[in-house]
Amino acid sequence: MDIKTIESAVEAILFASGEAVPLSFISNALEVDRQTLKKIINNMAQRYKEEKRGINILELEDSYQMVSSPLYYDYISRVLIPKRRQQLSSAALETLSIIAYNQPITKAKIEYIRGVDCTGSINKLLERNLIEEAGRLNTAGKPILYKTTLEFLKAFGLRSLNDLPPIDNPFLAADEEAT
Amino acid sequence: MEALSFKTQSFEGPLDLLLYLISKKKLSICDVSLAEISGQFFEYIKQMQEDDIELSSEFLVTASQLLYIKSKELLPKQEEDTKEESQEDLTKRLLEYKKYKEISQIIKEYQSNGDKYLDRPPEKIDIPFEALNLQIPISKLISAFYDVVHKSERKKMPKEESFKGIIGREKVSIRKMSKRVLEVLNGRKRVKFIDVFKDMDKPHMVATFLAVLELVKLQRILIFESNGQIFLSKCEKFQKIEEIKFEFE
Repeated sequence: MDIKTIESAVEAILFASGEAVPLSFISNALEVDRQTLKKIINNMAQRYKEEKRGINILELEDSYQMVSSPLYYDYISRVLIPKRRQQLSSAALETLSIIAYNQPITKAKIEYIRGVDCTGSINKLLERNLIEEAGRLNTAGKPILYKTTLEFLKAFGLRSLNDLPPIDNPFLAADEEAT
Repeated sequence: MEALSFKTQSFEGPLDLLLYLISKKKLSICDVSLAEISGQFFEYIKQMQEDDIELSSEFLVTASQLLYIKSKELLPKQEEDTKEESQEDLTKRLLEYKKYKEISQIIKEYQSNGDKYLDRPPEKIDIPFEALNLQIPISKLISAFYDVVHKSERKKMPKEESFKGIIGREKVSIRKMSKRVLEVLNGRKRVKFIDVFKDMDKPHMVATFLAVLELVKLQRILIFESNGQIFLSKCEKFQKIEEIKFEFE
């Protein structure tokens, strides 16, 4: 398979998929090793950006997604009426921040930090697909663990969790001896 | 309404004043006998012609406050330590919380970047099922099957034996076993001693053995030896087991 074909296939896959597609899926489908494919896709993404195309390819952790370029958001919004998405409340944002830096984390831990019940914010974040369940902690009661989603990265313009603003000693590290 | 005045060794006056003095640490609660004060209060109540709800409730409030202070005073001071600790804990927690509160504001700004990327839901493609190249190795399927089996096994009612040691042994009554022995002997000329204990666990065996001894003693059954083997047989005059009076009961 020549590079041109690979690029076109990637383009087709990402277009048809709409949502983020893990690199491994594309790699399996095209029978191209991941490292090479990653380079090719990143190269494509770079080109899309440089040429100021209407479409961008976003890298989200180890997945890729095709999205419209923010440069043309205003034009899009003249054609499509954007859904008035409610802003996240500051409570939800706080909860989201705690999860982002300490994932996977239980509701009890979040509530311990915030000092208030977080059921509402957690449900809201789940509803917005910003967080998801990540199994259960193997302690009494087997509490549900939460982590952020790829949707979270996209919504906040992050490529990976490493792009989060630095924070000194996340809670869990400091908390280990406390629990 | 006039406030009642109380008099004890170290204090004289209305109850409000007492509470005030104690809260200002002018007087130690330990020096005041609350029993004496409530005793005096009951005296007042008795002397009064009719019940004065207001007076009584006022006394109750103040007296319970005093009682609370005193009981707290009398308790060992250990509590203070943990309180301090939790204070420290709380400070730590608040600092932690403050950190996330600040960062959440920064993250909020990030949102405006991300909000302008628009995507669309995945294309729905109708492909016949056979054409789907489901890349699931058979080994995965097998392990999934084992998971199902394992799960259904876990959901099964636990066997009775697994409760041994958790719940006490079944109590085997000698009366019940006596009845059984008689039932076994009923209509038969003789029964081997060993056969009476067939398929029994230890508690049943013990109870049955005791039952045999009792029945022999009460002359309900006979026990005899023949050809080196022990046999049991019923006595002629048979009596219903319910009517037998056991000595051990």
